[in-house]
Amino acid sequence: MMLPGKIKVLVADDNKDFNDILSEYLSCQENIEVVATARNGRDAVEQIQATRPDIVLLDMIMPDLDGIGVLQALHGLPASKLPSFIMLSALSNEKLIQSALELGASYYIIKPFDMDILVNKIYQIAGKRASMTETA
Amino acid sequence: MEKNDKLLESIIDNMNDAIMVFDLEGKLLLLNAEAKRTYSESALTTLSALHEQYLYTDLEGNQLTLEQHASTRAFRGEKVKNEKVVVKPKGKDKGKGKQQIIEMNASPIKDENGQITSIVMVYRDISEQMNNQRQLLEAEREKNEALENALKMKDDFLATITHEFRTPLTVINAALQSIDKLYGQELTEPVKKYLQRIKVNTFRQLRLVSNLLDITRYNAGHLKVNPEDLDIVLLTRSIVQSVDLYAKQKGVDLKFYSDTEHCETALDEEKYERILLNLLSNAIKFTPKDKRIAVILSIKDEKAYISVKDEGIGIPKSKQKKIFERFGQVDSLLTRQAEGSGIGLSLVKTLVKGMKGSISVESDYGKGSTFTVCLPIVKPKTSPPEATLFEGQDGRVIKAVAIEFSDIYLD
Repeated sequence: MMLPGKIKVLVADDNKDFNDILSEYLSCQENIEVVATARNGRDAVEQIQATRPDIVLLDMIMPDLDGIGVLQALHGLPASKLPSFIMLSALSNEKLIQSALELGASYYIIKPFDMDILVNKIYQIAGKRASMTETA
Repeated sequence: MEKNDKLLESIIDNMNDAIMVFDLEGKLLLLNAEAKRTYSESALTTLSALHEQYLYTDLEGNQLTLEQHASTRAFRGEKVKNEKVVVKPKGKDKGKGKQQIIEMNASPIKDENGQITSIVMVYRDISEQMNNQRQLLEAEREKNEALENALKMKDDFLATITHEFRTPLTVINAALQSIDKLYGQELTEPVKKYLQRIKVNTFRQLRLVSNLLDITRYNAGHLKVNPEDLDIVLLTRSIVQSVDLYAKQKGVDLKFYSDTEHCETALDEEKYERILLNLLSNAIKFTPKDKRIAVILSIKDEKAYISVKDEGIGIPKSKQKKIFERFGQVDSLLTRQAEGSGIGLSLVKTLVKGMKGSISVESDYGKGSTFTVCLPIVKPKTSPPEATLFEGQDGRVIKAVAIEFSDIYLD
């Protein structure tokens, strides 16, 4: 069961090139709409609250507020208001991964990665979210 | 005779040890110059006066009673040798001098009938020596601390460098995928060919960076093994199957054989996979078209033997030992190791060793090679559950690039 309308995705990554390429790639997918992009953590938090995306693709190392900081900033919100997070990072430090997952991230994908795997995960999470709102 | 006595007295007086002789009642009979210099005059009358004014403790700080003291034990006939004791004046008007660490010796003196008539006590001040030792230990500790800090800094630096190296590669990789998937139809054949070369070399670069980090991490002793209960036969079969496509594309026949159907053991899946993928990647790379590769698993005497047997170019005898050579400590060697023979067999060896196994190679130059990994079978129940690093991680960490096989058909 897919969400009504397209899956709203927010891309937060401080690398402009990567942010652009990833956003374009996702926008070309049938059921995905990139509703906003952010180049730092603080902006990401604001955009998440303003655009209410379903899924946030979150870089770990960003200026102002890093990925962990973004997760912490939104940690207190009720689950229904929270997007799902997929962490994207070149860092494969076990402690970092663990803390991101503990703070509620759905997946931690190590860069570089196959973008179709990411797309599949986005559909998977969106499917789960849809079935949860149905039962709720 | 008198001359001899004088000589003896002068020798005793010139010694650096404090010497005291007490009679059966504990009265001081004789003492040398060093004893006079060290202890207060009023204490140097009887054993009990000495104990009255000085506190004796062992090196841990436990107070010694008169009963435990070397003198009392010497009166009972015991010979006390080099006992380390701390002597401290009790303060105020009691005792003089400062705290000393001494080596205490005490022996009974007997008459011709074997009866104890007196005891001789020899105190040797070893404070300076002990202090030197302590300083040495302290210096050693500081040195170790500095070394640990340096290692940590090196680790942090490497993590940063890896991140910095991977970031542009991530952009290149993403751009390549976009060209492929979004604009693939607009490309001409020659452009596609060039793009393929860019792709292959991007992966090659990425692999180099990953190996560099791994080698350095493992060299610094950071090889953490996280065993889980797994069926090694099933796992090996699925790893072999996962690269079958690569073998087929190269026209190499890849088969898996096992003498056992199931075998549960505690195994670090990720490291085992890396070991096997590295060996398979090398085998496929160095085996020409129409030849065969066999992966053979056999369980014997609580051990699993995994052989990767190829009909490739083989390794000359003179090089067989070298391919596993341990990582040098010199950093300039790292680059060579990371690329080395395909993907760094030394890394494989480090992983195997970390899993308490061994690896060997047999090769006929021109005919083929067989790499055999031997791993102990660890019965599932005996594996410590806390060894699992991520609890509840269940596939949430995704490494989505099979870099080991990224440049196989380049040559």
